[in-house]
Amino acid sequence: MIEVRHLSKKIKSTYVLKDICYQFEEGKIYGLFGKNGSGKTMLLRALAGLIVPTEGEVVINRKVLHRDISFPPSIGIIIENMELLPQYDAYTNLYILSKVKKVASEGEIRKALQRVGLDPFLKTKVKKYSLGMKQRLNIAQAIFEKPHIILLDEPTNAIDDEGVELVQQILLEEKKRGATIILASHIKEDLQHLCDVALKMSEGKLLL
Amino acid sequence: MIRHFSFFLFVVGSFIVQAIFSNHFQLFSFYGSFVDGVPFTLSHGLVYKYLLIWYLPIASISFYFSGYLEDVRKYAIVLFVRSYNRMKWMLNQYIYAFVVTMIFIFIQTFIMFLFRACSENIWTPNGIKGLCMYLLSIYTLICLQLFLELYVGARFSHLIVNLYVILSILLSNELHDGLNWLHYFFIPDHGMGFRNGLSSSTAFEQYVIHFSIGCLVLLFSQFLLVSFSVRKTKKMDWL
Repeated sequence: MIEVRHLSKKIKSTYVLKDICYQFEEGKIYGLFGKNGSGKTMLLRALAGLIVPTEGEVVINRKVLHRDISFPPSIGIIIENMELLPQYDAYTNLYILSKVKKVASEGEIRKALQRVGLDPFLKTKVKKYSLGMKQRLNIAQAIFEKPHIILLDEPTNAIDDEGVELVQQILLEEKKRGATIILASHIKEDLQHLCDVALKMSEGKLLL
Repeated sequence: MIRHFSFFLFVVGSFIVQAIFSNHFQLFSFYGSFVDGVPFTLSHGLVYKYLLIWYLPIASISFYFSGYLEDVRKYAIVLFVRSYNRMKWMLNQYIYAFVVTMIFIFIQTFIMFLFRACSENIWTPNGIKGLCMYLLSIYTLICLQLFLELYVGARFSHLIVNLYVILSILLSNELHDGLNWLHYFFIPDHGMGFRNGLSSSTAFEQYVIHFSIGCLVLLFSQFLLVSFSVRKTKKMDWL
């Protein structure tokens, strides 16, 4: 369970997150919707441990982020300004990442690539991928280690209609597995029907 | 993270230009213009000639590392969420920078030899010491650049370090009769044979940096810069 307690974040004299309190339960899909700049991505960053809160805290399975743990112990993420190694192919990228936690086998890496519609044996370097292919690889990167928490910022960006259906199917499968999934999107219609709970964000506040 | 290969070629190109200029200007050198650096002299024309030859590769190596941390931090996000240690990550970046700088100095020495812009003196014990001081001083400048990049961004950091290099060499030349301890704050001075006493010359005035103290100052500066970078990385937001 993820518990957000009075979370605020100030960047250069502006509060980008304002007093957010919420509990995200296991095995559910949450949707964060709101305009650009409403604080969706910033909230995902806070949940992932990538930013240090100005006030309040994020508690993950009774452990406080930045006090007891630096990052959530089992997390998959797609977020703005994130990049894989462009000089390697998709499989090699995931293989290098798998060496950090050592929880995914080679077979699981290839399976994750297959699930997102990429050829697991394709030797093309990531720098030659289209935007849609890069996004599919990002999704594979977020799910291949079967994390307990999956944070996805605009997961359907640059993906074609067929791909969007595939992403939706993957998210439902991950939910079935027991993962807590939090999606952020500025297009409500795109993913809202998948969500167990839809939350609106505006000016750094979570509107319940 | 590997930088674009064209960046690498740009640096190697600057070594070749340096070697050509060294031969063209036919200035006095004991080991080679890159290890000797800029002497203390009242002739400003001479200072600028030496400076031009010495500074070219420094500027290109600094350019090579400019924006390096900004580029790699995008990839760092996917590492960090897998509980990859931030401290270890930052230390790895500095180790990588040291290895790359060492490779550059090796290539530079080879090119200088190839173009006959380097003397056999460089293989004497003092010559090797001079090369080491040159490597350490450049690496300290790169550490400073990487450190500043965490605070002011890649462009400003690049600009600040290059201005510091030029100004410290010129200022040092003006101050060489004055307070000697002040020269220890000018990092480029440490890597110049004419200024650390490793290049024997009666043509120019006395050196101001003591080799052992200079070496310690460089190592201590590197330690401080890496430590502060690690500390900053632990607390910084990854936006």
